[in-house]
Amino acid sequence: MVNNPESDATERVSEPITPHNYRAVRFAMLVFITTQIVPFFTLFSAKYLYDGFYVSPQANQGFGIAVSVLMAISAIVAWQAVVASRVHQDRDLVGSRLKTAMVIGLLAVIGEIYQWGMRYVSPGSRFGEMYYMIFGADYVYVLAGIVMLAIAIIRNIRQNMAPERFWTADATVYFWIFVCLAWIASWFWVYIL
Amino acid sequence: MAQAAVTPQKAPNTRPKKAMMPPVLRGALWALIGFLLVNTFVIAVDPFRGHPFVTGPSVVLGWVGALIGWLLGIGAYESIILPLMGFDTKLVERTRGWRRYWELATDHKVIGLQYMMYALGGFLIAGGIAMLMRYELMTPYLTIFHYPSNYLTAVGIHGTIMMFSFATVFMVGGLGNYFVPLMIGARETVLSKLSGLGVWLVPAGILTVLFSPLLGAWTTGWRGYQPLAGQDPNGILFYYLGVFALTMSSLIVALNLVTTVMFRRAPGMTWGRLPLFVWGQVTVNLLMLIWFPEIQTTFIMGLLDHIVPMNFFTATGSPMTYLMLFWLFGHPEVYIIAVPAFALWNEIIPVMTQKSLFGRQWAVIGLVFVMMLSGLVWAHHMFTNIRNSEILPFSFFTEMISIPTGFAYMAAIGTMWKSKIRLTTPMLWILMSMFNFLIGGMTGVFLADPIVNLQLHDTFWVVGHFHYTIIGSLVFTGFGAMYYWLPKLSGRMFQETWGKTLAIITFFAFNLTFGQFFLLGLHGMNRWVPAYPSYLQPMNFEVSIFAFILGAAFLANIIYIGYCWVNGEKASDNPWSAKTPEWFTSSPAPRWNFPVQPEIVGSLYLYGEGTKVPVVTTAYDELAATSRQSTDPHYDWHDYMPKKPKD
Repeated sequence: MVNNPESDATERVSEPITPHNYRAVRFAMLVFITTQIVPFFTLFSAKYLYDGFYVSPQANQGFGIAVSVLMAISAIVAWQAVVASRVHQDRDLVGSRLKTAMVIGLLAVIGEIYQWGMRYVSPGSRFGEMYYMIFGADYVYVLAGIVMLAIAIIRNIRQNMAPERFWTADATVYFWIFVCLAWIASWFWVYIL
Repeated sequence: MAQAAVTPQKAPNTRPKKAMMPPVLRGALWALIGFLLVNTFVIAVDPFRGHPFVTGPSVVLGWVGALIGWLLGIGAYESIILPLMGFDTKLVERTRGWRRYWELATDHKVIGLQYMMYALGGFLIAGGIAMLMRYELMTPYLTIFHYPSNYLTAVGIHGTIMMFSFATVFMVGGLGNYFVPLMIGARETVLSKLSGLGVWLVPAGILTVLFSPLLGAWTTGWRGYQPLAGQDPNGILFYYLGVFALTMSSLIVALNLVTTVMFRRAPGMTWGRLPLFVWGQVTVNLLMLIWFPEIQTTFIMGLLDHIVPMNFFTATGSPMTYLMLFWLFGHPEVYIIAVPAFALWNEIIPVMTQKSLFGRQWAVIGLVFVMMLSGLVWAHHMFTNIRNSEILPFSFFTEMISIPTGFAYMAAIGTMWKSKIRLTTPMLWILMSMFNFLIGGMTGVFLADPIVNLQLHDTFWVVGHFHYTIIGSLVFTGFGAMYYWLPKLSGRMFQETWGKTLAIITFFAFNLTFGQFFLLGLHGMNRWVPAYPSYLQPMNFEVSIFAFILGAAFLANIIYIGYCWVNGEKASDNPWSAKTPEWFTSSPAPRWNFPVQPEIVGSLYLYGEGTKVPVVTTAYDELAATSRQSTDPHYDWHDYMPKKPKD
């Protein structure tokens, strides 16, 4: 269904956002996301301080790659939601892309939970401490991203997100892409370097 | 430029007739429910912790549940969550009356006053604890604190609340939120709802730190030093969590103010015309955006050391890493506190001298360079822990940072040079602040020298130094700013005689208290000890007496400002003949700050014959009155601008 903000007077619509305000909130979101690079920088520095570039043979490389690839796919699908809103202004397409991105992201998380559950990496080692710390931080961000995705999906179902009103979906996607990139960076730092 | 935005004339929305539970009460109730639910759940699923109902992990996760409950209960549920998900909400924000200060608001002026209120609460609590500490130190043996660990916990709570809920919050969350939008000619902030939510993290953080002794004494001071923290009981957990809430609040403020300055400046408010105070806010906001996530991560690692347990910073881990990570944040934190004060000196002095600001560009460059250098000096807090070869660069940068700091003095002194100073109460506070910070800075130069540092480390010299820099800059300038902006905040004026008398008493009490800290330090008085050699008792006794007078003087100032706020004489709209935009609207400012969008047409710091009025409210409203946008305060003037033709 292509949006038409004036099509149905009885339909619930979200508050409009003006072009300048849109630029302002997008700037704020991007600044916020930039600040959230700092925790990962801190954790990666700590990993280097404690453990150098050591990678434990216990780390399951296959799972590491699989989870990261899933996260990359999830990020690409999420970006399609932004394209769907900006180019096609198609509310249904935005919703379906958000749902797909969330499902793929959840699959990735389940893969990582499986690794944690199998205790491939011993938490008693220096490598293990940083492994659980860094991916634990990723879990927190994933949880926040999932909540944001869920909110955007619910809002998309309930409201007519007219062309100038897609900011909720945009913001969610920006954050989710950051979450995915942070996960991939964590994989690179912990599994590869 | 043909645009204007006039104040909307909509019919006011009415609040639902059904009585709501007061938001603060509901927040407290939901916080209790959140804590009990999560804590009980953790106890039920955690098979390793034995029988107690409250354990380290359960209290941490329970606190998270309580915080979420608190924020939802205070109004986030109706104001943010429901609209975000597309549900209707009946919440109508109050626009008048005292109750609006006790619920979630979106007006930056209400939010600014809420921040000031909680910062003041933190100041009084932490100040009260300081009085207890000084009472303890009147005698060389333990009196009111029965164990050294209790005294150290008091020191830690005092420092933590002062640093994270007063020093960081008052100038930036309080004065910044209130005045930055007014000073740039904005009608509201960009992230007003988020900002309204963030303020409620402050009381949550203060109470968390205040109640930390319920989980056991902690002995680390405001720095959470390892490996001490690793040995402490669970009280340290509430230190980490409280600081997390407080820094998160300040992070929201920083994000909101930076975005507002970027996108909501009035037409004509170029970066070159930006008020000094706003420059100060932007620089410290950038520091906060960089360093607060860093310290939050560090504290979470420390927290996990305690409850998992890990060994990041414990005695078997790397305490040095903690020290590094803490001071990487810790020293910029000092400038987060001081830079707004430097900016305010040069905001108020040109007004009180009615003379153009000397070296304006250098004053701004000084603020920016202090910001940049502040990230290069952290290890001077650790000269006793690092190698000689590592000391030298940090000693060098520490001495270097005094140069851009000096730019603030240069601009201030250059402005006062050969001027006719109006020695009003705000001006007096500013001059006192400059004197105090000078003493703090000069004693800091001694500490930047490694040889002297190794002798004076952990003595009262250091305590005197940082109280001079922080109280000297922040609190004195803060009082100066409150007296300066009181007519704007309340529409009322104070009496100069009372204001000056109280300022002078405070100044002498402060210097007689902390000036003697240097002597105590040179005589061998150590920090972190409630008991000390008896030969230090007479001076300690005397210092405590002056400290009580200082506490009373601060309290008297606060009471007097409060009294004048309500009962002072009516003030004119611009009693100081200032030129910054906040004085070009009524006092206090209306809901959307300016009746029509002001325009900046000249420098805000030029005085003398022939200088024009820099703020005009040219009536473009007859043009805008025909458009929908003119009645929508959320509609920014940028959106009226004709689009550039595409090439």
